[in-house]
Amino acid sequence: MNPVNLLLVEDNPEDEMLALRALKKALPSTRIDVARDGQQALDYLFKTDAYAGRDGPELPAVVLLDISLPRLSGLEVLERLRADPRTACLPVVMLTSSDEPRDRARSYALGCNSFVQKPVEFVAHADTLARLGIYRLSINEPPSGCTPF
Amino acid sequence: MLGFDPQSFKLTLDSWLAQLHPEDRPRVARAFEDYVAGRSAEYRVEFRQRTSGGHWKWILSIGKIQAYDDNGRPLRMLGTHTDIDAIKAAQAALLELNATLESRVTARTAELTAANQELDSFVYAVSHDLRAPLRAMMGFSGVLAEDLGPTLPPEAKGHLHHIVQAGRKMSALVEGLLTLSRSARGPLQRHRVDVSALARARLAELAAADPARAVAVSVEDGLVFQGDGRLLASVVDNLIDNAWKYTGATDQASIRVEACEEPGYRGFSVTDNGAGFDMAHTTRLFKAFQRLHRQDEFPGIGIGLATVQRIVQRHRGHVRAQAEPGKGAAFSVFLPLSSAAEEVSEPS
Repeated sequence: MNPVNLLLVEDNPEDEMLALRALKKALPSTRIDVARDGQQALDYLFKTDAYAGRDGPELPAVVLLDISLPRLSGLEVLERLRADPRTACLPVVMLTSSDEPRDRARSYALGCNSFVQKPVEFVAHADTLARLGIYRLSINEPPSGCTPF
Repeated sequence: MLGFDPQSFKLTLDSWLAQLHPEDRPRVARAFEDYVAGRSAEYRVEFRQRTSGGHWKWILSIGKIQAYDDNGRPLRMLGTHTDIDAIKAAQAALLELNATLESRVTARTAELTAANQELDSFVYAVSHDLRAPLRAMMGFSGVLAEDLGPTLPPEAKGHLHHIVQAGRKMSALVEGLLTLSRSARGPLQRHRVDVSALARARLAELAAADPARAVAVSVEDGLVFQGDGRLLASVVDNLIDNAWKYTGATDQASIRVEACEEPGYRGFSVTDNGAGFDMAHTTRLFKAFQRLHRQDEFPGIGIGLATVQRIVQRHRGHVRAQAEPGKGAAFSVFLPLSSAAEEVSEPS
């Protein structure tokens, strides 16, 4: 079995800690990498700059992408991923603080696979992330026409 | 009228024309000549004429030929001059006002739009910025409870519980603020909204979430209106959630959703037989963050009815409340007939 990993893009340290805790609990054998701004996420995914020689699979099984990020926003990252043939079909779940209709509309227009509001409740937060991770890693199949990497 | 001494005032056609405002003179001369030559049926013209004080005064001049010679040429003409200075001034003011009104409306609208956008981004920022620390507080309280729960003394567990409760309350407040602000902004869509279906769906959701409750519900068919679907759904949800909540301690609870009307309006009402309230407090009912019940009776943040009222007012309608403590409450939403009728007659 190929090693599976997951990229979490999150700039808020508390959110990161809580998300990591929930994900590791739900997906103990999955490697979880973290990028802390939009540019870092792109560098990780395209193996550029600081990530030029990173190890691990070419692309993660899923990207959990916060919308409000320093440098490049989550929406800008999503736009660049969809514009590049290598990542055009990479599963991306947008994470957001508030379920703002315009963010949701923009995310889907840009081609995200899911749009999820970060719940305030810890239990709900853990559940949501865990379910997302499991869902993405086990059930979800790439859309037809896309070659899995 | 012009301030001249009637005794010494001598007037000929030429001296009169000389007293006219240069801009008006050709027009007056033409009107006079046209009439005298029979090219126009009447002589009636407005012009500015010099007063004895040297000012200009607006005059309405009307005249009629009284006698012709044997060849049909006019001999004598009689007429009146009327001082229309005040009328002219009023007209000019009105024109000026009309001209500026449009630009003032445009300017005010721009100001309002800017203010709305500012409020919009403020609320957006608040919702994001308040939620992040809240998630941390709630999240790490959860971590503590999960990791240390079994070993914590009961008192410490109680404290943890209070932190989580307060976090929930604040989360609900932020949510309410957002809902209220969203209900006030964005363009109002107009489509066919089936309130009967929305009400049934909400009641089914509540029943599913709370299977222990036995509530007799009845929803009238055909409650169809023209309006913003998302916003009217929020109105229905809020009213039904309230009815559900305030019948929580009622034996044989019942909730009815039915049609209502008054001249020029039709709408729907949500009636329950729950806790009700004293009509003396109606003025506070629709104010944000105002509540008529204690938290330990019926929890809430006091944003629902404020949202309902704001949405209904944006649809040019109004909300009426009727209640009695211990007997129940009825909230009626009235939407203007012009828009309500259009929708229903439209094939959909």
